[in-house]
Amino acid sequence: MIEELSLVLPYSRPAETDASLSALVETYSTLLFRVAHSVLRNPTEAEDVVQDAFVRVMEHRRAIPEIRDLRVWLVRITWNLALDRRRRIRPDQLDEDFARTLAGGNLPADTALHESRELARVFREIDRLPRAERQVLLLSAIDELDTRELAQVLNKSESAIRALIFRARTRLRERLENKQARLTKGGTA
Amino acid sequence: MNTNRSHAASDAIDSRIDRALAGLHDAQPRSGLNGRILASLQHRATSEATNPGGLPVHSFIVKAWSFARGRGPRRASLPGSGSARGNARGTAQLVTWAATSAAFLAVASLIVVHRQVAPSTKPVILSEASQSHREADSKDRELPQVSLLRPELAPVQVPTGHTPSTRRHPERSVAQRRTSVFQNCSGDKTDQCEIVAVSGTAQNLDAQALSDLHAPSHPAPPLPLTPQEKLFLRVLRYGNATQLAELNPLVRAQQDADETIAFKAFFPDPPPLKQPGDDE
Repeated sequence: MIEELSLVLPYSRPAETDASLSALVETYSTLLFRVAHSVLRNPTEAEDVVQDAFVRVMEHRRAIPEIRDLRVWLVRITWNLALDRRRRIRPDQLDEDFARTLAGGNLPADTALHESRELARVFREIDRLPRAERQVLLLSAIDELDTRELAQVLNKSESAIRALIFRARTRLRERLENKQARLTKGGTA
Repeated sequence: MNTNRSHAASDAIDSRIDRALAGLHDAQPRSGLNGRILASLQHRATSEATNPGGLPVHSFIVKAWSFARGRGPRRASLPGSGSARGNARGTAQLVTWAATSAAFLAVASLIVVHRQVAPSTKPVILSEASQSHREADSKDRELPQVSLLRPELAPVQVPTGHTPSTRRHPERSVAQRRTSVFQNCSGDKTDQCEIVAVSGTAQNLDAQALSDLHAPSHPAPPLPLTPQEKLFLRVLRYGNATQLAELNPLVRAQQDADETIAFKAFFPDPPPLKQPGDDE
């Protein structure tokens, strides 16, 4: 977890701001990778998005001292870039690959295949959630942003964020249960 | 019973959701992410320093367009400026501007063409001598450096023609790199050329790319036959002597007769059944 002190960029001269870009990469690259990965579910695409985000930072480096919460700003840039990129690729294929990676391990092949299908179904249902709930659920899954930061990234109040997390989780569980029940009913019939 | 089953299913779904979200949380980038990002930023900063603001042609065209759309015609159509003198002044200004812009465009296109045709001015690390020469040369030339990166985090120096793995210049060809490798060779004595392996991943990637380029290509193995093709092969006649002979009716009749004789020899006719009256 990154320290709270590093969240706010010290107000410094532009030259020092330039020099701190490499420190920014060191500090935030992993967090931004996870943010992009939660949307794209593909390491290569997520890395491209992180790279693009830092290019944006470099382009706006003169304005960096004026940014109050740099971490939130970076997460928001990365989030928007990842959403843009996800519209241009085939997310289903990426979800299946990622689910296969998650399910792999010491499991037997048939169990791993079943698990990967179930996980891919979970990701599909996450993508079918309402937009606000989906965003909150994915960003909260990264577990590095607290409620205040989530509220800043998504332009919502903290209470709204908490309610959205609860609603997203409940709705996701209900949909998965309904789908499971339909599948079971179809299998027995 | 049903309640227990539904609880178990709900728990399984919950654990599956947790597992999916934990997978998102535990996602790790490939090693060297910071180095790749810094290399990309350095490359971008270098290209910006070399060509600040991009090509001047673009801004020039924008200015020209705004001039042609706004300033020129509007000045000619201002109320009270419809006199011959005003029109003549506007026309002369437009002609002057057009001539200037044409000359500027010609110069800009020459610069662009020259930059595309001219070989790369970056040095190639070929030998110890050339490397020392390169260092001295780089000091003299003072290539633009990235001031915003810490030196210890700067990426590995890469040879000419190799750009960091960005999507900005992925089309740098292997052939260009190959020709630049032999720049230090004198005349026909190419065997005396000394190519020193440059440490780093970039050189390995170059070697890998070259070996892939020169690797012999093999034809694809034949695909296995489908069941239909196998059946087709069984009924197919190739026209050999035996099959052609079978088409002759005399030969076929003889063959049938032989088969009948052979069958009867193997299975002789059964003896006639004895009737009960015969015994008496």
